[in-house]
Amino acid sequence: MPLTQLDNLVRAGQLKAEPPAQSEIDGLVRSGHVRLLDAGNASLNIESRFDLAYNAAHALSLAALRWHGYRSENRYIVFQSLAHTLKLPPEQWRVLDRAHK
Amino acid sequence: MPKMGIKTSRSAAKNAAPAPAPRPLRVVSASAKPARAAHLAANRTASVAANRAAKPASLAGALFSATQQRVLGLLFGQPERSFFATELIALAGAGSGAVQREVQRLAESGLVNVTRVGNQKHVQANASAPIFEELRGIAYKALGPAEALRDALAPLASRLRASWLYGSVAKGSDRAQSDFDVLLVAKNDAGLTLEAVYAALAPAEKRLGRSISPTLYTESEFRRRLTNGNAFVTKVMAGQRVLLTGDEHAADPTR
Repeated sequence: MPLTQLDNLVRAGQLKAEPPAQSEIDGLVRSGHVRLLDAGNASLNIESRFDLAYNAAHALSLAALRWHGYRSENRYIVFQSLAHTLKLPPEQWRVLDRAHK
Repeated sequence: MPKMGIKTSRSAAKNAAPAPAPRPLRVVSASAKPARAAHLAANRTASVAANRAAKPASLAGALFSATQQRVLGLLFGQPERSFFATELIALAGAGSGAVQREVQRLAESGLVNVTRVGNQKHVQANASAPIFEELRGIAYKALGPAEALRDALAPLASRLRASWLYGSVAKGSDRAQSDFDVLLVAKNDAGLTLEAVYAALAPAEKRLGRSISPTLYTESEFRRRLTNGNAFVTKVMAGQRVLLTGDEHAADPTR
């Protein structure tokens, strides 16, 4: 489902348009859920749990972007796109954007 | 959920990307071009200034003398307030002669009203001056960001041990595109999330026209980092900072 704001980023060369592939989206969602589950494992060091949760967030955010028919190699674009792909309020996607920094 | 207070190093990913924009993705269109040109021009101007002076001027420093900054910041930062002349001198922390000269010039130009009640002089910003709104905006954005941040954080104050403005704005070396860096130390049982902090700061961001970068720790996380000599926390606490809420000593591990 194309989004005007993201189409503008494609024209600006910040985002690639690529038709959604269901198998890739399924893989990303599965990978995100697995990591998120492991991030809850209190026996791991907090640094590892952070990495797992962060990578889960990225996989799930990328799944949303791919579902709409876009791709980006830039993690911050993937997180900032959440404002459009999932209509996430700024205070939510900015937490993820911050974790990336 | 990730531990929000942790500063992680993802420099590889960061370097691969262009300067991260903290705001929502901008809709790029033809109208964005003049803005980009202006941005480049601003960068050029900034680098010229940086070459000329060892210590780059802050936004306010480029426009006003130190005394002017303090006087304008008080009068136009709180335009609804009438100051006694003596009060203004004390709050400005500048010489009484210098403050009185500024007030006189401002009064002569009609930017402020001076009224006498008995033998006391009252000074207040003149809301009907033709550039009142502009000066109020400048006072707010360039002279009093701490006040704007305090207002925004007020609803969270009971859940915070302390919060500080640090970085280039606190040092007075900020540029038009500088972020406001804010360090927040939450009470251990407050359950404060970074998400709630971003939400609370959103109105201040909008009014200041610049983005705010909050870093949130619980009190025990913060104290542990101080004790362990964590580079980030140590640098912030050793550097110039402006207390926004709470008590400067609240997070002192020796107390």
